[in-house]
Amino acid sequence: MVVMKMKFPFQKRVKLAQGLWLLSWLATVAGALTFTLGCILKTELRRRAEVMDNTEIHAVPNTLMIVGLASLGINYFAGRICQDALDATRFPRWKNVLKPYYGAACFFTALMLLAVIMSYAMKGNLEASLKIGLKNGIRFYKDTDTPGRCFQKQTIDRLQMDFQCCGNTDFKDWFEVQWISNRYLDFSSKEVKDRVKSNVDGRYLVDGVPFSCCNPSSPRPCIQYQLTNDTAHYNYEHRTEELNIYVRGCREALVNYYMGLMNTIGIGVLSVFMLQSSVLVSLRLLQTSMEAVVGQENVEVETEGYLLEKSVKETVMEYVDPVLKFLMLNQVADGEAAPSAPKGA
Amino acid sequence: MSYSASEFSGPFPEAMALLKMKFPLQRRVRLAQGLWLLSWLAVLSGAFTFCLGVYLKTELVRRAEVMDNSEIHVVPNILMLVGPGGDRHQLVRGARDSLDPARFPRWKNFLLPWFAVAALLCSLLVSAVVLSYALQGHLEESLKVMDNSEIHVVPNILMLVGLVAIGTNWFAGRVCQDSLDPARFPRWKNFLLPWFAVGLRNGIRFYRDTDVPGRCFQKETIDRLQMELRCCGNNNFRDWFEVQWISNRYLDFTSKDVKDRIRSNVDGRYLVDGVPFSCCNPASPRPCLQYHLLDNNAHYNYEHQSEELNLYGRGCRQALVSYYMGMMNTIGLGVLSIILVQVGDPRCFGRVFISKYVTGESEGCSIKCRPYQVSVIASMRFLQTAVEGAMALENPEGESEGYLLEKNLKDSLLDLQVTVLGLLKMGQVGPGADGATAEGEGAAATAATTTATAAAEAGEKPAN
Repeated sequence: MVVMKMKFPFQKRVKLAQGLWLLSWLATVAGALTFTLGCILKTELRRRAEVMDNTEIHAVPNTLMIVGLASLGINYFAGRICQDALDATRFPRWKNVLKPYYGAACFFTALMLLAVIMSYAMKGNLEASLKIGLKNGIRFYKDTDTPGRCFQKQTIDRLQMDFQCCGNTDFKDWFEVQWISNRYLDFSSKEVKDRVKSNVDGRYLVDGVPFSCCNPSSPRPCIQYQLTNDTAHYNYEHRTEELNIYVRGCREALVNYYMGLMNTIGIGVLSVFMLQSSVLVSLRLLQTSMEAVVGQENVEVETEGYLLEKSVKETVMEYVDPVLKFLMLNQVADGEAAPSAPKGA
Repeated sequence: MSYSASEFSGPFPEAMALLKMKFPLQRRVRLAQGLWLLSWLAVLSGAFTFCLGVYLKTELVRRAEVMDNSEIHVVPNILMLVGPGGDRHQLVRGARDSLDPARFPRWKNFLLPWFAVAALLCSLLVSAVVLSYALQGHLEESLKVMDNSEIHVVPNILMLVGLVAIGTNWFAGRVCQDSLDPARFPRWKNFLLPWFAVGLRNGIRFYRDTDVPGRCFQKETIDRLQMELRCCGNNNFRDWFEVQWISNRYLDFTSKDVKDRIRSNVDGRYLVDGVPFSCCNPASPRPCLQYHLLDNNAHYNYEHQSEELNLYGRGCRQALVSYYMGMMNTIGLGVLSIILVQVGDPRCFGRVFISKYVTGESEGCSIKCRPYQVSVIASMRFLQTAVEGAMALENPEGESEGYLLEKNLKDSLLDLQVTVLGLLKMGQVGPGADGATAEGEGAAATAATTTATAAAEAGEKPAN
């Protein structure tokens, strides 16, 4: 049972070849675009790498870059093949190349789709990574004299100002951490000694936040210290007052930012995926219809083109069987034969 | 010296034509091709100019509140107008059609007025740029008094510059551009500085008026400005000490401290030695100290004379000027290079004049200069005259002569004068006012006047 059999009179073949040539150039540009999008995403992720705990999320832009480069090659060859396809004398030289070519092409196209799916699926991963990274950033905020951590303060300050956020989950995260370094605390003062003693770990905790949490849109000059003390400021009730610091947490802000970016990129990559698939399908149809012409005297005869000679399942088994036999011969311990990516015949 | 050229040009000695050059068919072809390419490059440059104008405009709009007036918006507006000059297309086609004898004549009526306009605008442009620099000193003086009415002069000049650029910005190409002197641009600095001073002063004064309509966004604007440009105050952070930037709504007037401060001040203002949070420098290792800045005892391990980095050190006026200077420099370079393309590389013309009129070589520029060094206006003019000459030949593919002006400069100016007078007299003297049908030659519109020789020319000119 042949998959997608279509009749191709001579004129239709010619038009298919012309259309395919044009499509392949468009797809080449699209491939370059995918590569660029991958680079952009990677750059953005690296800018805030200091507040991320791991680099697993970088798999998404890496995949996009690989796929972009690969599609450049795939589409270039698609253009060359279709140029030769209408010439019966030059077409046969591509015969041996075609099977591995289709295999590689389908693999990378599937990878493109995988990248899009990953960009949505890795949200949880990104969030967890940010949670840990921000927690550390806030903890080491005061360590501006410790090598390796001396830029944490600047990083966190700029992050909070750029993304208009405060703390990890919200601004109260700053109350649980000593973010004022001991170098700037007067340990001879009673107030400082009291605070330090009242705490189990001997930390100087304040109900205040750094200046980078201040919201410029607030009509009131920024109140950053003694936030829970109503008497410390005139006309201030911390429960009802619309605080003039940012209330949302930086984790949420960053996740929203990156998910927005990845969504936009995902839509672009999806359309590139459609384009790429159509290029491959057209190329396959052109190839099969031209194969029927080879050896015939009248080149303009009508032929049939198809996608797969046998049904999908049979084709897949055709490729998987040798792999299975290979694996079973070697007596792999688990006995599981994980099928390799299905190769289009 | 071709037979038909002298017949074509009228009864005057050839040597009197300005910058006459020989144009064999090949050179005409190459000139047309080069011109076509230049036209398309000019389209691109126009689009680029437009984008620059848009960019500058958005940047200025962002800071609109700290600028006391919006006159400076003229600059980007001009650039945006300059950009998409629609007539470029016409000239692209004109250059293409010039080699097709069937299609060329339709451009004739279009070209001559264009030359007049282009040359006129070019001279306006140069004078405008000169004037804008010359008036800077005058502006500074008037701005010190904070009266901004005279500042209108500068943007009006800039408008002229833009209009000139509209007219002449039809071609762009490669520029013989050594003449762009980066040393000239710092002079813009003195021009921008006063503008920002006024706007910032008001911004700081009205920082606390977040409940006054019309000023309620000053606080946010100044805060964001200081954070983005990493600056504090007008000249430095002490500007905040002289202004009450904490609104009375947030002051507890029953408290002794507040009452003391207000009494100690002549105007009854609550002045603090503190700055808003937006002055804080995130790069400082210490949590930001914004209040009691002059009091060493208020903070542990703090000496305000030696302490550095906790706040931004530079003033916002300086920061803004540097920021916009950088942008204007880039844009100015682009615009000036476009101007230069119109006028051409002065060195080339220098060589031409010297070789032709000083050393007496008859070939002139044909040896030394390459086509792209001659300005686009001049090359268009050469192309037009050369093709016209060729069309009048028996063999259209033969060699013809092209020139800038039919007569030398002095005579052309005299003709122009006569034309203008003729035009002015047109309303009074009804018949015989042939000045209305004048066809332009180069910068001047030589007209058919009532004189005998001119009438003979006029008889020949419609035959062009």
